Amino acid sequence: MSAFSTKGMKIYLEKKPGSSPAPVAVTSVSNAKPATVTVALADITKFKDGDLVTVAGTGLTAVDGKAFTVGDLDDVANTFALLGSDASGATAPANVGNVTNHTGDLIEFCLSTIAYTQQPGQAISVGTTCDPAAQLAGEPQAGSLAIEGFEDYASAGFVEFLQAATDGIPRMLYIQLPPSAYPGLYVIYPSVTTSGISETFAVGAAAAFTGEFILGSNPVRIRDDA
Amino acid sequence: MAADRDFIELIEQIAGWTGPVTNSLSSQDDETKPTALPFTLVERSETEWLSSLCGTEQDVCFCTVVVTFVARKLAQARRMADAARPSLAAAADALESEGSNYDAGLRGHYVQQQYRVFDRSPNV
Repeated sequence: MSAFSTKGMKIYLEKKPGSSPAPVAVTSVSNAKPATVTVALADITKFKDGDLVTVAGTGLTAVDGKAFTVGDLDDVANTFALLGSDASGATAPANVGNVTNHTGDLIEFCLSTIAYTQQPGQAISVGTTCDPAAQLAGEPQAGSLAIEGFEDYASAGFVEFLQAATDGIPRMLYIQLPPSAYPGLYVIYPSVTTSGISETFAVGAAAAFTGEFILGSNPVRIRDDA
Repeated sequence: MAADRDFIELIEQIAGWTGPVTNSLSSQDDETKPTALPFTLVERSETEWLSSLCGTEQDVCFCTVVVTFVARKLAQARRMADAARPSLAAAADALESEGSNYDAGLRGHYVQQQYRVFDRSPNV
């Protein structure tokens, strides 16, 4: 039995516009699972285990444009693993590209509930007179996140959520599951767009809100030792 | 200041208020003598804390404050309740209920009001 409670779970919403440091040039990215990034000696201190990074320009389709968690920092000098990545299908490692650390733009977002829903893909009818029942399997949608929380204008996370509801800009949502779940367990929602907010003000109750994020891509679940 | 202490202050500020206002019942010094009436009891009973996935917000809470006005005559207890209600209801989030009855132990009538209060300093 390894069920776990939510105590110690951390949810972070990406701030937009962000103030992330400039992308760091990579020396190499291995074609392995997980891919290992090598950077210059002067740049390795810009990362730490658990950081949320995106990769660009390496030419490795398995990592370009995607978000990962940093792990195994400096196990080999000036390297870290892109936890959750699998570049083993590439024929050769990359020696160009860059990595951007988004951790500085992550704001803790205190919620009372968060619920992820993914609907199965809807079958597409391609029926003809020869085969009226013919269908193609539909592509599953990435899903949505329903959230609930208390209104708290002193909380940067809540204020950023209000901003997200206004500007419609996709953001990253990053969840660190509690150590009781598994040491180093992360879920990245790489692109969430707020589709609505509902606020409730009732006598004798804390002002509360509910909202929904629409996911632009599937969530990435990362286990530190995977 | 915690909600029950705030309520005591508000009641004591009412012009012409009679009888002690306390947030607890004292032990009876002399069992042969009945408790002196009138008096007002302010009790903070249930507390509801706000919790999120970030933890429990310990600086604020909702609590129930029960105010009991006890007097020899029901009319006097009602007058006390009527006099206190405007300021207490203004300080509370809501006046949830009010009722009256006779307490044989105290040998007096009482009016009891129950308020729901958002308490910003519950630990004081």
